[in-house]
Amino acid sequence: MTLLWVLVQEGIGNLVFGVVILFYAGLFAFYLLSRWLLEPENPLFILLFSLLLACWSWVVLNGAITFQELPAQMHAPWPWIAKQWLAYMIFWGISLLMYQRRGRHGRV
Amino acid sequence: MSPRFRYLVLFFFLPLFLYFSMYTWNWKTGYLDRLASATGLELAGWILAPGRWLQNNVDEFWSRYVYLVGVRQENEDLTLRVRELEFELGRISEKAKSADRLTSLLRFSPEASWEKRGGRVIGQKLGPNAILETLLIDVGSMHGVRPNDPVISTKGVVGRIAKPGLHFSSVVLLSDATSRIPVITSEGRVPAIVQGQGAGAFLEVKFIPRNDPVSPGEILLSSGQGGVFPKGIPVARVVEVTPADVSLFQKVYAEPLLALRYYEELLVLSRNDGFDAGQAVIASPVTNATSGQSAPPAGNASVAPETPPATNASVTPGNGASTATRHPVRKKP
Repeated sequence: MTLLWVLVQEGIGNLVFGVVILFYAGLFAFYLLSRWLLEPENPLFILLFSLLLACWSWVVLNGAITFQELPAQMHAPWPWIAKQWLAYMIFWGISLLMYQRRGRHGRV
Repeated sequence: MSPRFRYLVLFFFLPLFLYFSMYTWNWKTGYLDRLASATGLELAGWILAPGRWLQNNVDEFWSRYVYLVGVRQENEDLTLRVRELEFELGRISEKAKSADRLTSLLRFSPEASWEKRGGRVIGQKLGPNAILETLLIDVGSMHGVRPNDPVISTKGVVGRIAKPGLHFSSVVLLSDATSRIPVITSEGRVPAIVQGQGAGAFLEVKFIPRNDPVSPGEILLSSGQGGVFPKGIPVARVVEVTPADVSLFQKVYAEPLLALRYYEELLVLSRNDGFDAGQAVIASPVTNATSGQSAPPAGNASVAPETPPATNASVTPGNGASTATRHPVRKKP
């Protein structure tokens, strides 16, 4: 499923193959880093992880655009990162809530 | 080797090496890009297409059988006929204008034959990597669509095929910043290049010399240079002309003839004479010569951003020579 998901995201995107893989590698690394610092149930974990992920997504996209020599089309970083950060926090919060309500009261 | 160094190599340097190897291999061959188009784009299309089909059928049912029966049908028929006639009229008038010029030539090649294939828009700018201004249409390589095939509407040029999947394809619009189309003004026959500036911004018309005539309201037609777009198809309408101050060229801005929100059914044109327009829009630079495309011929689709329009200039994001000049973008009011 992971491979299919990566292929779907790469297929519908406009950049050369590899951007999504790099993003998910960073996601995994930042998850380990955040988990090393904080517990996943801690709201600060969500804040830190979401912020790192939002920054990483901007870096990856901007880097891919620069590497492919596309005309600059990325928006200004901080408003874009702020929107991503907010979206990640909301989705993570909803997912955590649903996970806990479905009877899995253990640790995340 | 200390354990810490071993972990560093195993979990950082080795994956990084493997990633860059995969990236550069795909850069040269394009195999993974084609795999992603054949799977990911295909899957996304099959998910979106039923929803759009359902929406179209519900709209049609409502408009034909519930709301203004008969009158609505007649109106739709007449509108379609008018669009066909407008397109035909534009094409024929250009042929008529070129007839006198062609008769003075001793020898000329017959006009390339183009095959038209209809497609429906089913999505726009999909996914987290949607950087370019693109549409998703429901025709692909199984229908004979190839990279860089022109896409037009009854009003004029829409863009070109960026990434063909099996049954669905991604179209990069002429408003995208990577889009450059060789054009000619309808009245003064001045060659130029139309460059997109992104969504919500006017198109920039480059390389019109300071003394050449161009006026607001004038239509820009595809010039046929580069062999990607057929000659004579409307591209844009001039909206603003600013005389040159110290530059050799005038500052001219144009707008597409049809707004993005009105794109529904489009036509994909394919050449029948075997001419290859070169590497795809969304591709790596010139080293990607083996990604299913033959080596670009002289009239190819590589961009030469700052050369006069007599040379072949069209779209490609990275042919190694492109460093897009960053000048202020003229936004629509």
